[in-house]
Amino acid sequence: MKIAVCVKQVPDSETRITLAAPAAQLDDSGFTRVLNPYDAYAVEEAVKIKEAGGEVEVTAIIAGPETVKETLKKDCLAVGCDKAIIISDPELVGADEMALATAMAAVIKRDGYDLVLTGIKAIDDDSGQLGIILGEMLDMAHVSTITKLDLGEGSLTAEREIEGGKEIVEASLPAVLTCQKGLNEPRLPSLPNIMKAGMKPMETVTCADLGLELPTSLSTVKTFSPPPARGECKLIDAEDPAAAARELARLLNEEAKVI
Amino acid sequence: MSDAKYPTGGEFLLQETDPADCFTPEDFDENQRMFATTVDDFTAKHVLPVVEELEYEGDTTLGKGLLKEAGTMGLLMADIPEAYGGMGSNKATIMLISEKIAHAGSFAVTHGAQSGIGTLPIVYFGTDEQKQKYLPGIATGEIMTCYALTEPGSGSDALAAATTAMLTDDGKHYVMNGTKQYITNASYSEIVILFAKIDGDKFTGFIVDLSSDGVTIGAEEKKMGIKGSSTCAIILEDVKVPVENVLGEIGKGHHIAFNILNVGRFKLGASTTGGSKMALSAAVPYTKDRKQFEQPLCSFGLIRRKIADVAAAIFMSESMLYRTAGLLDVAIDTLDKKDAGYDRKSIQQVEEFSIECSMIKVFASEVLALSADECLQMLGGYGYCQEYPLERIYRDERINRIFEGTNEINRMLVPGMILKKAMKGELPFLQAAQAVADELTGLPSFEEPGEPEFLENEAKLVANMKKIVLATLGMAAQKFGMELKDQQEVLADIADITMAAYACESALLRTKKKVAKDGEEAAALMANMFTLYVHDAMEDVSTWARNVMAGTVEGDELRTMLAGLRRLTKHDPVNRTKLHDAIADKVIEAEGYTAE
Repeated sequence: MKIAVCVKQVPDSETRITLAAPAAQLDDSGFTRVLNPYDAYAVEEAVKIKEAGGEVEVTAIIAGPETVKETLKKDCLAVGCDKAIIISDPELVGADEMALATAMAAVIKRDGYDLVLTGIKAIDDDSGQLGIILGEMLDMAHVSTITKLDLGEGSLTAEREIEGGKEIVEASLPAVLTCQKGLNEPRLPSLPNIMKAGMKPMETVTCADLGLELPTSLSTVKTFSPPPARGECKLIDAEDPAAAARELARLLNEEAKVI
Repeated sequence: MSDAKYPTGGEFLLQETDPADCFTPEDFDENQRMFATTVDDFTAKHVLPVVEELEYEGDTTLGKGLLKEAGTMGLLMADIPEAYGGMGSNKATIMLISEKIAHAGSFAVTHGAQSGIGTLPIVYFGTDEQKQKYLPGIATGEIMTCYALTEPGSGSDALAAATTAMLTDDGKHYVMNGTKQYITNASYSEIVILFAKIDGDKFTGFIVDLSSDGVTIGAEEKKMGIKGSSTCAIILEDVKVPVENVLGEIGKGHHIAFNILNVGRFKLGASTTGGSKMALSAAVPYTKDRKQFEQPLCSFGLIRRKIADVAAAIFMSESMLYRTAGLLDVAIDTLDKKDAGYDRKSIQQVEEFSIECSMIKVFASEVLALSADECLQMLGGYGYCQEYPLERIYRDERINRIFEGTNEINRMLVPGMILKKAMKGELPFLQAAQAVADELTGLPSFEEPGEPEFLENEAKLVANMKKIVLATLGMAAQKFGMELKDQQEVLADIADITMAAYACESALLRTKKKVAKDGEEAAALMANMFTLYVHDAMEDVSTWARNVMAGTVEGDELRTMLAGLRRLTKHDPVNRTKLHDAIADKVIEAEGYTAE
């Protein structure tokens, strides 16, 4: 069985975001970059399937520049993925989900996989579209937001989160699944495995290598701006609740002009 | 050894080091950086969620589970050779792991007992059979181990141990009796590296199975800090230990004990450096958020001074720590890994640097004392309350100046070891000391200094500090001869001068290496921290040296020496406020220690 895990490198959630003046672009020079936490569930699930036995090969697929190599090594290869493929192409910088999925789908089609796992979304842009688009492009079954997975012979049973409960879905393989918190507890790499990870194969491909023309991105990010500063909180200091309410009504009417 | 191609301990006093040859934290490779973040991740995932139980409720039983977890992540195997299931890491990597694990508070002590002092005696002195039997399990955490040297009646004077081991009539066992105390991890360890006197006089190391009949583990000590670590006595009553569990040679237990202490000391230098960084990280964000007089605390000069002084002191610790790691690695790299005696020879290489190991232990633990104290002060009343971690860091810090050889004992060792190496002809110390003495008593140079280059004045201060070490130690050795060992105050002052020289030179070399690689601007923070520290240190060095001289000679001789000393210590003051501001800006922006 061949499993592809589509992953993304994102800024650490504790990274302080600064905007580079004057173009209002993100200043990413000081970013600490990590594996997207939702993708870590996908990696862990793939590795667990491998550990459960049988002939399983797990490949991590990522798009991005040279800097993704550290994330691949420490958070994918060192925790049990067998190899990694980097789609490194200037055209993918700032590309939208459609372009990204096109490139990933090309790699997945080229090598042929029985199962594709990815996080439900990436914590940087929060778009959550990659898995769905991949399912469509690859003509595979797609189950999103899974919190439990059982693999059968040529089929799978997954639990997925829905509002107010859970849904149990059966699907045939090959399939694309997006992973949600609760699916598993991602392990940390061990120090010896970090050392061994350096010896695992890491392939770099470009869109040209894949014979691919990327679709024009339908959306582009024009500007970033920090959220507006919050207004000041006013505490009403009154003798009794009735007086406080009168003062509140007055302020809402005269100052805030909302009533 | 003096003609060896690799450096030897104490040599820094007598020669110049090329910055390119000085290992620095900027030289870590990708694997080492990943190890560092993995240790941080371990602490965040497994230790921080149980901080309350560990550190405030003092649940010492948690250490065992945490050690197992650390074992599965490979955090216990750095020191163990690959042939026995470990990683056989170099010293720089081992120090980095020790530095990072410090953020785990009490667990750092638990971790150190298992992976350091509980492991290394077997690595360095065990037979192949002993290594095969124990090391793979110790590496993964399946076997818990600890180290027992101290007794109720013998602490610093470790060789005065009263625990005895008597051979049975059939020659198959030793029967042990005695009490060991302050044994970290004793309550849940399977084995202990224990020292006892065979026939009451031959001090010898043993591997003792703690499940043996006659072993009693005492109650947990009620400690001031590191409350999450287990500390108990081990009482031995007619405990039978198989003869094959003798570690090393009979009567040579002191080789094990003292050599393991050397390694323990440099590891402690690493963990206290990590602790200092933790203290600063716990304080700086507070000074940004907390406002008084409608201004954040970090905008006030006296808070900024504290931030900068602590950061500069950490920079010193860190620089000397990793410089020493590099020296040890270069020395160990000259050995043949295939040599059957490789492990034993590597500990001999470490022993060569016992001067540096002692200096790091004392210096870095005292930097942690400063960091804990000043960072607590930055939080004011909140710092005194358990709601913030500084109250705990302040208590936990204290032990570091006591264990692995008190700072007093280690201070005695520094000049003592230099002289020992000089006597053995390993260091051409006496000739160099004579040359400096001649310079001090000779005529001053009237050379007019030109416009100084970047850090040129400060580099001169460092060079002069090294001369002052030679002058004071040479003088004291000449005056007191064999009696010098009893002149504890003189020795301590000389040790302090030596530490200042080593710390300042290490920081200078690191800064120069950075300048050579990335330019003066990129090295500005390092240069500022070094400059701030070296000027302050020269004031201290001047005082210590004057005291040594006054305690050693008198009359005209004293006056001549003091005049010479004035020439060496002369320096114009720097604008400290300006330096404090420049350093504090960077540290406040990074919300903790940074050298970038």
